[in-house]
Formats: sequence, structure tokens, C-alpha cells
Amino acid sequence: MNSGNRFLWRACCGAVVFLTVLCLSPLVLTVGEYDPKLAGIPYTLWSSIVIAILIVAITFVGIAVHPGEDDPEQSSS
Amino acid sequence: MSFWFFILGGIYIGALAFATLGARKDNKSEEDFALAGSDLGVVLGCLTVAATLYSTFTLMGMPDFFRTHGVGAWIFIAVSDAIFAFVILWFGFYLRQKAQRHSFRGIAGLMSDCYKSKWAGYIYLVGVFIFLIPYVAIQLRGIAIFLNAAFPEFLPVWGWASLMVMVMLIYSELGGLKAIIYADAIQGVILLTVTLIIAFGCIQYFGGIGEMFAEVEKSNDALLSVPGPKGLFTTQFLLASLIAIIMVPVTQPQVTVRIAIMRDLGAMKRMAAMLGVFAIILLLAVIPIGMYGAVRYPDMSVANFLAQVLIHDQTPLVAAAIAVGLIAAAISTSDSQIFAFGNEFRSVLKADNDKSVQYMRYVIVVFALTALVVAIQATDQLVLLARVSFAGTSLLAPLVITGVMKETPPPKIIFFATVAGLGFFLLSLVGYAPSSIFGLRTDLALFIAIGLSAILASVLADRTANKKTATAA
Repeated sequence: MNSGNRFLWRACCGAVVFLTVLCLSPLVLTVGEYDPKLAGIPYTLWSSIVIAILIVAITFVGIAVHPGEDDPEQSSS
Repeated sequence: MSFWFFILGGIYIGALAFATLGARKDNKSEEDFALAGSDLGVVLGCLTVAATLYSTFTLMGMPDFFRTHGVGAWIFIAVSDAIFAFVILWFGFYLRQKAQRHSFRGIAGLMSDCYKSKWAGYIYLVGVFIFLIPYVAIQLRGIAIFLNAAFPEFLPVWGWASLMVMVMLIYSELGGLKAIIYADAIQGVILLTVTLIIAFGCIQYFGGIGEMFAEVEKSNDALLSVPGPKGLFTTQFLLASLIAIIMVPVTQPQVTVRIAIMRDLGAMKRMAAMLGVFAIILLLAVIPIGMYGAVRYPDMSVANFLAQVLIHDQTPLVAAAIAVGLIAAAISTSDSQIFAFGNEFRSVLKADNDKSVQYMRYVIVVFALTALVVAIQATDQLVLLARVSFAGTSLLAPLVITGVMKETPPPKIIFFATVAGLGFFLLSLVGYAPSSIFGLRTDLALFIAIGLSAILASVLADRTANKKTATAA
């Protein structure tokens, strides 16, 4: 593994875990409540849509900073 | 509609035949047949993984889930699938490293090699067999009940299911994994297109997204928040479902094998991110279909609701495209799983390559027929049955992750923990074991218990090995 990007990769992993916990917390899962709405979309839905989009965005960042490489000897064999 | 159905259905069958013949021509060896030459590019990789994941479960199960249980269904499926893409990025690297070192044939064989015990492969194989059968069965049943409702005069439910099994067996036996991947690509494009068309139609019906949710609020405001009208989406249910879904790239061979046969690590990474985008777009489109059903058809049976929203409320051309798209979805997901199971069986065999592929072909037929029998007997609760399948296979995750991540053979105690967990989960499904343990859902509690056992056993084994090395030095 390339150690240069290791910190950034771990930060991406941490961010995904944080967003997962946030999504399952009472901050997003507001029982029986659907305000404040965003463009008419109920709160739990729009906030979890934002979280899902952020996780996909982090996946894109993850492509750039992932420190792993294919083993060149094994790949070419 | 029947006219367009036969025209589009004919085009689909023609495309399948073309793809199968092309794949058959490309297949130069038995390895090509089983693993598609291990040279999967980004777009094809994304479409094939998406097609194995998003099937009747997505276009039929999820709209009904939104209609019945409300907006919490987004967290259940879409947030889980976004994390799923990230898990591919994380786990795929380690998997590919191990696969490159151990002349990869399948996950069961890889587990046998990693643990230096054939039992690891057998446990994986049995676990996958038990829990993939219901998943394949619901694909077949889902589309068969829908086609029966849409064309009641044609064939009974078992007739549609049998016809689909026959089609998928013919082309997967002829063209191997490559034919399946081409068929998946066709299906992925059809599925995304028809879902977007239906979604736009549903939003147009309301006059906008805000207006749609305002109508849902008037109809049943419990759908706009968790836990939903029937109280399904509790935090614990969502957490257990999330674990079950995000472990699919680790435990379900139809996905894991595709990760391992991507052309290179860069292609695999880009595929993972592209899959995340595909998931978000597709699942956003599912929401209006469910909300439309909640307002217009809140009390209809699942089959009638789907026949109404997917066929009767559409123009004949769109309805025919949807029907063909659904058949394609059911076939591509089911054949991916059936073929993957056959390949897993091959990977634990020590027979020579020609013979093992021959056995693999027999196993594919047996697995398909078993799934067909279960499909004819299954219930109509598509999503919940799929969830049981995901939860069951997720219990294999500690076994697979430990095998892939550890450099030395992991301790065998993980076998016992996995077998005990799978057995307990099966007993809980049939009512012979409790559905919760210390206040936790059984599937969640078992996942935690097996995971902790694997971590603890690995740490202790490493310490013992380190002590031995120090003493020897």
C-alpha cells in the first residue's frame, strides 16, 4: 500500500461510518415528524437523500486516495 | 399492448440470442466459460453488478415497500446501497489481492485455500445454497405473479416461472458467464430507462414533487416519516437491514466474483463509484412510483397494484417495455445467482477443469429447478423475503472477511461460530428459536456474536503465534 494516501483513505472510511451513524440517529430518524420539509419533501427523506449522495461523493474521493495497487507481477501473469 | 409486448419481447430474445452466440464464440476455454476471461471493463462491470442487484426486487418490491411503509424505505435500500458501493472499494482491494495469489476459481475455493481447510469452502457453499434459493425464487415468483395478473389468459404463475427458468438455463449453459454479463448489460439499461419513464409519469400525475408529497400527507401522513404506518422502520430494523445489504459484496458470489474478475484494480474502483451513482438515480425514481400507489391504490393487493401502475396506467408501448424489462430483470438476476452457485460448487472441486465445469453445469440445473419449486410455493412478500436472504448470507461475512484479510490461516473456531449462527437463524425463521436476543433482533445479534468471535479468535491466535516465535528466537 502507498502510505502517502493512507491518511486520506482512512478519513474517507471514517466519514462513511460517521454518515451511517448520523443516518440511523434520531437526528435523521425523527419518529412521526416530517418537518422541516425541503421543496415539499419530508425531512427524513431529504436528509437521508443528502447523506446517500455524500456517501457516493466520498466513494469518488476514495477512488483518488485509495492507497492500494494491483500486484503487478500477479496481474501480468 | 400485446402487439408491442411481442415486438419488444422478440427484440429482447433476439438480443439475448446474439449475446449468447457472441459469448460462445469468445469462450476459448472452460475458465472463459466460468469466469468470462477475468477481463471485465468499467461500464460492463457496473451494469452487470447493477443488474444482479436491481431486479424485480427494485421495480416491483420497492414501489410496494414505499406505498406500504413510507419514506423510511429510502434508508432501507438507497443509503445501504450507497455504502454498498463504498464497501466494494474497501473490500475489493483485499479480495483481488488474495484472488491473484490463489488462482481464483470462486469464493468457496478461495476460503478453502485461505483457511487451509476444505470445510471453510463447504460452509460457505451450504450457507449460500440455503439463502440464495429464496432470493432466486422471489425473482421468479415476483415476475410470474405480475405477468399472470397482466396476461391472465396466457399462462398460470408456475407456467411463467418455468418458461423463464428454461430461457435462462439455455443461454447460461450455452454462453457461460460472458453471456450472462451481456444479458445483464441489456437488462441494466432497460431497467433504468423504464423506471425513469414510469417515475416521470407519476410525478406528472401530481403536477410536481411537492404536490406529490402534499397528496400523500392528505392520504396517509404516517408514510412521510419513520417508522411508517405499520411501524416497520425502527432503528434496529434499519441497522440490521443495512448490515445485511452492505455485506452482499462480501458474501454473495454473484457480486463477489464480478469484483474479482474486473480487468484491474482501477476498473474495479471506478465501477464501484459508478454503481453508487446508478443506485441513487434508479432508487430516486422508485420513490414517486410508490407514492403514486399510496395515493391512488392504497388498499390494493401487491399484484393488482403493480399490474395497475406498471401496465394499465401506461401507454401500450411503455407498458410493453416495462413487461419486457421486468422479465429481463428477473431472468438476469436469477441466472447470475444460479450460475454463481454453480461456479462456487466448481471452485471447491478438485477435479480437472473439464470435469469440474461439467459438474458445474449439472449443479446449475439442479439449483434452478430447486428455486423454481420454491418460487411456486413462496409468499408474495418480495422485499421481506429478499431481506431474509441478505440477512442469512450476511452471517457468512465474518468467515469471508477474516479469510480474505488475514495473511495466515485464521482459527477454525470461526467455522463453529458461523455454523451455529446459521443454524440458530434458520431455527428462528421457522419459530423454533427466539426472534430476539437480549432485546436485539436475532439476525443483528447473531451477526455481532459471530463477528466478535472471529475478531477475538484471530487476535488470540496471533498472540499465541507471536509468543511461539519469540520463544523460538
